Amino acid sequence: MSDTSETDAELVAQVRRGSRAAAGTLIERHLRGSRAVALAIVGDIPGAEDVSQEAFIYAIERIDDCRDPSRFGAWLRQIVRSIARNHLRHARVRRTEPLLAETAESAGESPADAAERADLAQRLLAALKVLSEDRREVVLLHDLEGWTHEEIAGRMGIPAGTVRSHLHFARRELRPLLQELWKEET
Amino acid sequence: MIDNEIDNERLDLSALDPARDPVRWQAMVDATRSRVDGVLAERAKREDDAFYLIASWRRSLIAAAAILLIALIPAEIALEIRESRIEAVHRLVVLSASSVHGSRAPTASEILRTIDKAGPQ
Repeated sequence: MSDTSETDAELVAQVRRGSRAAAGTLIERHLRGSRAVALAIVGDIPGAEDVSQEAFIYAIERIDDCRDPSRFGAWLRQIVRSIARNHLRHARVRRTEPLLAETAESAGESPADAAERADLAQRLLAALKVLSEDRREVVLLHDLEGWTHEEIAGRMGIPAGTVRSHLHFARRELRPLLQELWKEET
Repeated sequence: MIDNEIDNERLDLSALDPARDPVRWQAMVDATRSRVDGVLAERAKREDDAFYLIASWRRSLIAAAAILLIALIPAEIALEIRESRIEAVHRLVVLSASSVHGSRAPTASEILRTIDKAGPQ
């Protein structure tokens, strides 16, 4: 059995012994972050979700190659980046589950609300494209996923000061664009 | 002042938050789990397979063979040198014995030739 208090290293060791529960905990813990990293590169939600899922499958298939299991998250994000770049180049990562079709009804949203949300997300992603890939990743991990500067620094392998700087300039570039976007919304 | 505001205020990116559509997100998590379960089941099946077991030793076997090679090559060279020296000494003994038998001292060129026959040093 695995629980959420276990470290990544412990979970990776259990996955190597075949534990599905441990793999499930790793998914719960890292899938959102992987999606954000993929979103920063791919620039669209379905693509980012495909990439993050593919990256997880790849990581579990090659779990024995994870040299430092305590840094599973950083290793996984390297895989996400690589698959996301490949996805951009070839745009043929296989779709896995038809998630979009069930969206509006399953969430209890009216089709109009779902369409409006999708449109807003689309415009937000378009605005994010003004940023460099690193800044996009930092702003998504910090402002969307709620990671701290130190967490982002550790997992991106850059100093915390660089993370702060990326975040500062990303927000400075994005804020006027988002203000325009909200104005259009209201 | 403006910089402080920028540094402290998060941007509202909630339109991109997967939690905005929890059912869809859960479907994504479940689909990932299901595929990962498949990978682990496949892995378990492979581990029971004798061929896979041998293949999984491949890396360790190659590493052990490499270490053995690294250790054996200098040992082999050292042994060859030692053997050739022993042969040279043996030939010198034979030369000396035949010289004593013939009651004459071997010449310098005879000694050098005998040592040279031992091969590369």
